Amino acid sequence: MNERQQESLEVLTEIRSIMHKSSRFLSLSGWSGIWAGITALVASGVAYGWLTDQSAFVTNAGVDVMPNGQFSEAAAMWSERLLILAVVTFVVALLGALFFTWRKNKKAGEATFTGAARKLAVSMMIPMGAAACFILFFILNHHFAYIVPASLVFYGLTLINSSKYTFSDIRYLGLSEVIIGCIALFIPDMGLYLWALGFGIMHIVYGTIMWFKYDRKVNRL
Amino acid sequence: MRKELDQLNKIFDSRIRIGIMSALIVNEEVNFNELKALLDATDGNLASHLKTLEEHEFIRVEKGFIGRKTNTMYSITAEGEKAFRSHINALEKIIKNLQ
Repeated sequence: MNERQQESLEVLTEIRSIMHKSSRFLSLSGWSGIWAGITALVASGVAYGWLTDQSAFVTNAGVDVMPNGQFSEAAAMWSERLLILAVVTFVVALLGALFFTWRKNKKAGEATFTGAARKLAVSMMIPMGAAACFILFFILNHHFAYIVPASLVFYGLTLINSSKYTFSDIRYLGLSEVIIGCIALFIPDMGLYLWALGFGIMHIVYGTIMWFKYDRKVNRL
Repeated sequence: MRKELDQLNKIFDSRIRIGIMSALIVNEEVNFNELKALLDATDGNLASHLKTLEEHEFIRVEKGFIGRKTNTMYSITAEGEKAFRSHINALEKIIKNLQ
């Protein structure tokens, strides 16, 4: 290869790299995923504890309605508890994810809130907003069996949609969530375990893979 | 070989200008500060290269405000896209022909 070719190759490589860097938010930290997974496991542990408390309720995966058409007291209490647990889990996971990503950027000396970060946030907020509406409806109307499949499928589709604005790897995390969500639809009795698998284990597995693949270099700096 | 070299656009000789065009070809709009961070350039240096590209009508400039701060957005023109693509093609030919 002569000098002229070498130069052309370097320019092309740089063009590629700038196209990639400018259109994707590449500072998501692997720790963000690991943190989200741990949060999800703790939350499913809490829900599991409540379930074993209320074993009579477990057998009824759908709506718990009294003969007079009113929701039973147990169902009303569940709906309140689940709503609080859902909101707390989401907020804790999100804040942790933002913190670890911000920390990684600080180490690498890069800006966190770039145009690509904005696009990523918007592409996530739209399907997640719709998901919140569905899940709120299911909780308030005591359709508890649909909460697990809906949260997994919506979240999976969110990740697939967002994968064009960040590491393309999260597309596969999204696909796994959608598959687990669809399985959960058919076996509601396994709902809580599948939720823990999808939001807990999968996040930890992917977060670890992403950390080894992308973050390790930054930490060595 | 001569032919390919002729197709290389002199305007894209600079690393910063190549970088600006690369970012604008994959994004609808990019603002000044993002370009600066992306290309690791100083204000003055970046501004002068942007000016050159604007004069050749390869990029469009739109001045706006976020609060009181100026926020200048840049986007690529059809002509700029055409010129940049043929520049990339010429670079590819140079590499392929002589292998």
